[in-house]
Amino acid sequence: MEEQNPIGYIVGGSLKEGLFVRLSVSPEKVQEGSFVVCDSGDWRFYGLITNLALGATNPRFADERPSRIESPFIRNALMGKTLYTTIEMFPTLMMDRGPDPGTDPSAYLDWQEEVEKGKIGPQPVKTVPAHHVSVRLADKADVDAIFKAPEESSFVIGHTLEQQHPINLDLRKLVKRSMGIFGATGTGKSYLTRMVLAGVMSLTDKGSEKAPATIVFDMHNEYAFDVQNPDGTGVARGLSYLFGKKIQTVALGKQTIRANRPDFDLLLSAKDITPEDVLLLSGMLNLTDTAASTLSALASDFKENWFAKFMAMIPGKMEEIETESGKLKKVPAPDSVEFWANDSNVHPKAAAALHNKLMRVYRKEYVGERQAGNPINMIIDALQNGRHIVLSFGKHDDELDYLLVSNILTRRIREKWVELTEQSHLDADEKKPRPLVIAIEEAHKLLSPQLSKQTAFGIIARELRKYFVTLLVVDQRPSGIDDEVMSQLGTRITGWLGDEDDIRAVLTGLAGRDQLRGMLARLQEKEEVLLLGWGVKMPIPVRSRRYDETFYEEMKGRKSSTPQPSGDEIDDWLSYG
Amino acid sequence: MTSMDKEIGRTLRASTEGFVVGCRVEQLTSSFGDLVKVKLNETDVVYGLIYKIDIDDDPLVRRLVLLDGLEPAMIEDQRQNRLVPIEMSVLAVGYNINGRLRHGLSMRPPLSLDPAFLCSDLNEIKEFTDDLGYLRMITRADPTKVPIDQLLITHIRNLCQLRGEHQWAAAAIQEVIELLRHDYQTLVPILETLSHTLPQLANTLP
Repeated sequence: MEEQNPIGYIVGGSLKEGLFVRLSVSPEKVQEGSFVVCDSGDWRFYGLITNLALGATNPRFADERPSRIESPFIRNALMGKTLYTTIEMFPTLMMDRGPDPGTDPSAYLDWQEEVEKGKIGPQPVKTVPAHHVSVRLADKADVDAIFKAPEESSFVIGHTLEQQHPINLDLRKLVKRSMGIFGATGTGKSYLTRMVLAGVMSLTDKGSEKAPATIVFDMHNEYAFDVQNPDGTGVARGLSYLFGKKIQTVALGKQTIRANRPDFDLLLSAKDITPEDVLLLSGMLNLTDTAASTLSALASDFKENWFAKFMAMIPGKMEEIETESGKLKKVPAPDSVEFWANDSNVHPKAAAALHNKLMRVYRKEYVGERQAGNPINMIIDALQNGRHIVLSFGKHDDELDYLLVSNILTRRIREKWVELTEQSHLDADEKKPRPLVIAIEEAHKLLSPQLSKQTAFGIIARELRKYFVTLLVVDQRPSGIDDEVMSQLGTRITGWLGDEDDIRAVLTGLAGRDQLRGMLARLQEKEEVLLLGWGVKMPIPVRSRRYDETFYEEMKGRKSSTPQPSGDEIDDWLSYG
Repeated sequence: MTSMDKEIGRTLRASTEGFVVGCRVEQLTSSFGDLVKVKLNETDVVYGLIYKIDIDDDPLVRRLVLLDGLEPAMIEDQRQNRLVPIEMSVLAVGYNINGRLRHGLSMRPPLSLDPAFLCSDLNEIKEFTDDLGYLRMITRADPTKVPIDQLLITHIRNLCQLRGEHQWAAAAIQEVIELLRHDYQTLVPILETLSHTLPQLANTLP
């Protein structure tokens, strides 16, 4: 096989700096990011090419062209011997090679059995291969040895750059920790997210192991229904096309999404909004420092009805009363903001100002004093039952809508999952809750250093999988996300990033940052992504697969083994409304 | 020793690194770059490459030079009956002891007046030069004494003609490049000259 041919041999290096390999083939045959392998003694080393450098045995051979050597043969021979290319190999994993099947077939079979059982496998690199050991491009068997996943949860995310070997992700493992999909605008982030979501949604319950449920906060209305490709080449199918009734499409407020009627609308009652939700919006509502104490007084006085009661007050309303001396005096009316403020030891002007600012929230089309049904509970129930939710914001697409609604919903979902988890701890018969993935776009708006400690998302990111809820963070500006949150993202899938701060952020907390930085900056702007972190055994750049008919067919094939909700079930859910 | 071997003189002085062969004018049939050998005994020989040929003066030559109208017969007589021998300096590059051919320095040098022969048997030349390890002995020679570049050029050119094989020359050039890959100043002029003197290599596949 061609792939078994060596491309060079090791001439130096270290664990810290990586290995230096003298190339014995033309440099055009290898590229940065290639997956390479070398065998040394009992170990097989796996690594990535992170750099290529031209060298010369004497600088003059490189500086001066031997133009007076007329013979092409001699000229080529001279260049071949005096000019060379060195590649830098970043060793990532090593694995016991096992006994030689030729000399001890029985021991080899035992070893192979241990490998198949997972008792022997790739491990972090702890030593270096010897000098002059041959290095070759990885073949399919090598790729499988590292990226093999159980068939049922295996998902091809893309292919290696040169050899085009498929790279599999283990989706069940992937969703056990929060993950992130990053890339500058136009790098195919949304397509990639759609594919990962489709993969997760295609999983089914396996014995006692429940398939994850997913909720997508779809700020730009890209995921539920078909959308036109930006380059005008047909449409990209929505997740509802791929998964039918397994997906519940929800619109914020009463509206259509891309000319489709969603399964139901999300309308918030005033009771759904807490003072903490309002404080999250401090920046957008331009709240002052006194807002927190005013909100606290409101919550103390009116409990969960604080918002409706406060909004029902009339700021500045006065009435005349007769004083003891018989004169008429204007005082705040009992249903005024000022009356309540005076009664609750709150500065009346501060209360009036807060009232004025909160009116912007209260007047949102999707907020009412009381709403029929309970769409938040419908969403939670659907998720508990293993259905997936895509919440489209439609025309309500400003930051305030996104931050407010996504946080309220996530807080409620998290409370439910915490309750379920704790019940399962108390009662041995109680099953653990279904894993839940919350997908958020424009994540830096929710997970910025200022907000991440206040939003439910920040809490989920830090809790890891304790409560079976993880995040799928999608963002083009990872440097805007709190470092602490970034460090908790188990798996990162990233397309091209141009900004140095964004690259640094994506590599936060990962080994080999220095080696990977250049690779990330030089990814092709479209279709090439770098897989990093917990969900992949070693970092690897891949050419992501296409979101096309082939993919749709594969997803539909996987879905066919998924139990579909019955008509009655769907009616039950919809009857909430 | 083969029947084709032709005596070219006898050893004047020697060391393990090389030796000097003295000869008469009529024995001067070998040239710069030729492969020669000296018999150590009936079976063992030391191989070397001629890197310098010296024709020293003597008192008679000094006087003859000053004469007007020097007769051709006198010149011929002086040449045939020189008082001092012609000296050929040889760089030791290998040896054959107990029938085993080796590239390198022999354990002992030839003794004075050991006979020296020009290697003329193509089979013997091929046997010695098939393996190119002896070229290392040239590139490692003392450059103040041995004209390394010219010796390599002449030797490779001659051997290429003698063997009639371009592939051998191609391999020899590759070996020279390998040996001198850190020495731009020596290597490039050698290759430039070989490129001109062996144009047939242009068609050789890399």
